[in-house]
Amino acid sequence: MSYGATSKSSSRPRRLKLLRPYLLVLPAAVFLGLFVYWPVVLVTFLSFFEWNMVSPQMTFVGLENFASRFADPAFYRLLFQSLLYIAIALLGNFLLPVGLAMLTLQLGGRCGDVYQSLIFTPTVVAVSVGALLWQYIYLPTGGLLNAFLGLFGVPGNNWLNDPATALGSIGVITAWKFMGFNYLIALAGLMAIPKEYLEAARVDGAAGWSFVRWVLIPLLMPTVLFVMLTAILQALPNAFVPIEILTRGGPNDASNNLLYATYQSAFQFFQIGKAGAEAVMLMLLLGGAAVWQFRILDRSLTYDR
Amino acid sequence: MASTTVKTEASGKSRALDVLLKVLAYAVLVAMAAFFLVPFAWSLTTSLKTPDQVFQGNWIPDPVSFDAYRNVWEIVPYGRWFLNSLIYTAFVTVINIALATTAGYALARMRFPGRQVIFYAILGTLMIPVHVYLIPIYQMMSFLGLVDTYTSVILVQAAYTFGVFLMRQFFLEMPYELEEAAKVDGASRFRTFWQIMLPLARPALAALTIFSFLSAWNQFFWPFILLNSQEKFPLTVGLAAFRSQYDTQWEFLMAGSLLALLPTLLVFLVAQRQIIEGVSFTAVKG
Repeated sequence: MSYGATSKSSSRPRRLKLLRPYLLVLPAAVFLGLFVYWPVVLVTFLSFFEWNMVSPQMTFVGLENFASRFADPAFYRLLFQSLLYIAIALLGNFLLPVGLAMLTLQLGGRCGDVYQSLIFTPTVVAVSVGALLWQYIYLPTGGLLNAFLGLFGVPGNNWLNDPATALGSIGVITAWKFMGFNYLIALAGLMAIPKEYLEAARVDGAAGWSFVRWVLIPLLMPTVLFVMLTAILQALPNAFVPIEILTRGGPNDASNNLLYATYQSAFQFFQIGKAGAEAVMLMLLLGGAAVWQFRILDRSLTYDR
Repeated sequence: MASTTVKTEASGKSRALDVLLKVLAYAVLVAMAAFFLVPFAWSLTTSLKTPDQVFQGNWIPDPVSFDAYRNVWEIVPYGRWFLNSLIYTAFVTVINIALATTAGYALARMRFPGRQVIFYAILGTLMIPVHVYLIPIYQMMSFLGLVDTYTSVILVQAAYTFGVFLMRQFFLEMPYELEEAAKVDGASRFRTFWQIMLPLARPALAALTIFSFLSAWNQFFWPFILLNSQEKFPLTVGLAAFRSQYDTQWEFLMAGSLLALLPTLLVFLVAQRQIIEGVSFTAVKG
C-alpha cells in the first residue's frame, strides 16, 4: 500500500512538486487579491475622477476630489466626530474591558467563568440584530431607558433623534457589542503572565493598587497596546451597521463619521470620485495606524524577551 | 516572612480603603453584568407582550402572549430568510474551511519563494476595512451580472483571513517529526496532509468552523450592499428591512430578532470553550 504510494509520487514530474505550495495558497490568495487588493487599486483610480456610477461620462479631475474635501467645513466636522467615536471606543472597548479583565481574574473559579461568558455573549450576536435590540431600549415611548430614568424623575429623551445624544447612543451599542472580544484578549494576556512573577511581587509586598500599577500593567503592556490599537482601528468600522440601521448618520449628520460618510457619498449621493477620495484618505489613516500598531507590538514583544 | 511584616504594617486606614475598593469593584461588575444582560431580557419580555403593552414600558408581560412567535412567520417571509441564512452560512463555512486549511498548511509547513510576502499580504487584508472598497466590489459584481444573486454574497466571503491565520498558527506548532515519520513510511505529501495532519488539527478545525459559522450567520454588510430582492435576504438584512416597514410592531421584531440569535447563542453555549480558547490562541500567540 505505502509502497505503491511511493512509486507513484516519485514518478510525478518535479515541476508539479515545486508548484504544490502555490497551488495550496492560491485559492485563498486569489480571492483576497480579487476582493481586497484589486478593489483598493480601483478605488484609488476612481478618486481622480468625477463620476456618478451610471453615466458613461467619467471626467479626470486630478486631485480635485481631495482638495475639495479639505476646503469643506463639513469634512472637519466628520473628522471631529470620528475622533469622538474613537474616544468612546477607547473608553468602552479598551479601558473597560482591560479593567474588567483585571477584576474578573481576581474573582476566579466558577463565578469568573460565568462572568466571562456574560461579557462575551453580545460578541456572538449579529451587530444588526444588536442594533435592533437597542433601538427598543432607546425608544422615546415604551423604551426601557426612559422608563428607567422616569423612576428617578429624570425626564426622558428621544436618544437617537437628538443631535446631542445620537452619537453617544450609537457609541454605547458598539461598546456593548464589541467589548467581549477585547476583554478576552486582555484576559488571555493576563493569564499568560508567568505565575512566578506575580507571586514574587506579592511576596515583596505589592498589593491592591500598587500591585496593579507596578506589576500587572508593565507585564501586560504588549496586550494593553494591542487592545488599545484594536479599539482605535475598529471604532469607525464597528459603528457602521448601528449607524446605518438606527440613524443613517443623522439627525443633521450628528452621528456621522468619515467612514459612514464615504458610504453615503457613494450609495446615497452617487459621487463616486468624492467617495473614492474619502476612501483613500481613510485607508491611509487606518492603514497607517495599523502599521504603527504592528511596529509597536514588534518592539514591545522583542523588548519583553 | 516579608509578607507578614507588610501585613502588620498595613494600617487600619489602608485596610478600609482596600475594603472600599473591593465593594466598588463588585458594584462595577454587577452594573456591567446588567449592561450585558438587559438588552436580551428586555427583548425577551417584549416578545411575549400583546401589541397594546408594547409602548407601556412594563417589564412583566400581562397577559403573556406567544402570538409574536407564531405570527412572525406569516407577516414577513421569515422562513425564507431563515433558509437563506442557512444557505449562505453553509456555503461560506465550507469554502472558508477549505481555503483556510490549505493556505494555512502551506504557509506553515512548506518552504517556497515568496512565502513571507504572501503571508503578510494575506494578513494585510485585516488592516483595510471593507467599507473602503465596497464601490469597486459592487461594480465588479454588477459587471459580472452577479448583483442580487446568492453567488455574489458567497463569493465575497470566500476567503476568511482570520481562518488562514488561525490554521497557520496551529500547523506551525505541530512537531516536525510527525511529517518526517510519515515520509520515511513512504506516504505522499497529500496523504500526510489528509491522513495525519488534518485529523490532528481537529481542535483547530472545530474553532475555525465555529468562527466561520458565526461570521457568516451574522453577516449584514455584504448581503445588505449586494442584494435587492427580499426573497434572497438573510435574516440579518430581512429583520432590518422589516423594522423600517413595521416600525411599531416591536413584539414581532423582538421575537424575530431572538429567533435569529438562537443558533449563534446555542453554538456559543455548546462551544464556549473552543471559542474562548480560539480568540486567546490567536491573540496571544499572534
